[in-house]
Amino acid sequence: MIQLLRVLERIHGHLGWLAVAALLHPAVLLRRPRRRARLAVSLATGLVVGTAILGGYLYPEYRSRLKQSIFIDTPALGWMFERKEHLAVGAVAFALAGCIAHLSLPWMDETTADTMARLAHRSFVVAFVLAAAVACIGVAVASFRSF
Amino acid sequence: MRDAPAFAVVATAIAVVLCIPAVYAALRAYDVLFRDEPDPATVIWSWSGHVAMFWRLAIGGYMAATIAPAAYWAARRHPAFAAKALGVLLFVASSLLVVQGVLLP
Repeated sequence: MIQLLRVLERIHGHLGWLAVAALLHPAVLLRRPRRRARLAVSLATGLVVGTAILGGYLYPEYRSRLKQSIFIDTPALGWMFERKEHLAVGAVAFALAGCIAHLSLPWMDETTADTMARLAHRSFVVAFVLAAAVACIGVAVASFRSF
Repeated sequence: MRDAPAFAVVATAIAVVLCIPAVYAALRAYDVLFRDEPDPATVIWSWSGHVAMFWRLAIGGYMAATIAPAAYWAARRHPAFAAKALGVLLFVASSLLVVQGVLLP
C-alpha cells in the first residue's frame, strides 16, 4: 500500500507541474480577446482537474499517515501544506471557469464575447498563479516527508 | 445576444463554479476565526472519509447550486450586466481565497 501511495504521490507531483506549465499556455495566449485556443484550454483544464482528483484521493491517506508527524517536526511546513490545499481549490475552480468562458465564445455576440474572453484570460492567469504556488509548496513538503 | 438562453446557461455555470471557492474560503475563515481547533500536532488523524476540506467543497457546491436559479434569471434579463458581474465575482472569489489561503490556513 505504501509503495502504491508513494508512486501515486510522485505522479500527482509531476502532473501538478505539468498542469502549471499547461496553464501558462492559455494565460499567455488568451491575452488577446480574439484569440481562440480551445485545445490548449481544454487540455490544461483537464490536467488540472485530473491532478486535483488524484490529490483528493491521496489527501485522506496524507492526513492519517503524515499530517501529525509533519506538524510535530515542522509546524510551519504543516501549515504550508494546508495553504496548498486551499489554493489548489482555487486553481481548479478558476481553470474550470476560464475553460467554460472560453469554450462558450462561439455562442456570444461581439460585445459579450469580448467580456467573456477577458474573463477567461483573467481566470487562467489566476489559476496559473495559484497552481504555481501550490506546486512549489508541494515540492517543499514532499522533499521533507513522503509516504 | 446571439443565443440568450445559451449565454444564460454559460453565465450560470461560471457563477456556480466561482461561488464554490468563495464559499469554501468563507467557511474556512469562519473555522479559523471563530472555532477552537486543536493543534494539528496533537491530533492522531484516523483514516476517514469525513474530511473537512471535502465537506467545505460540498457545502460550497450546495450553496452555489442554490444561487444558480437567480444567476440564470439575472443572465436572461440583463446579459450585459451579468457578463460584467462575472468579472467582479472572479475578483471577489480569487481575493477571498488568496486572503484566506495565505492568512488563515
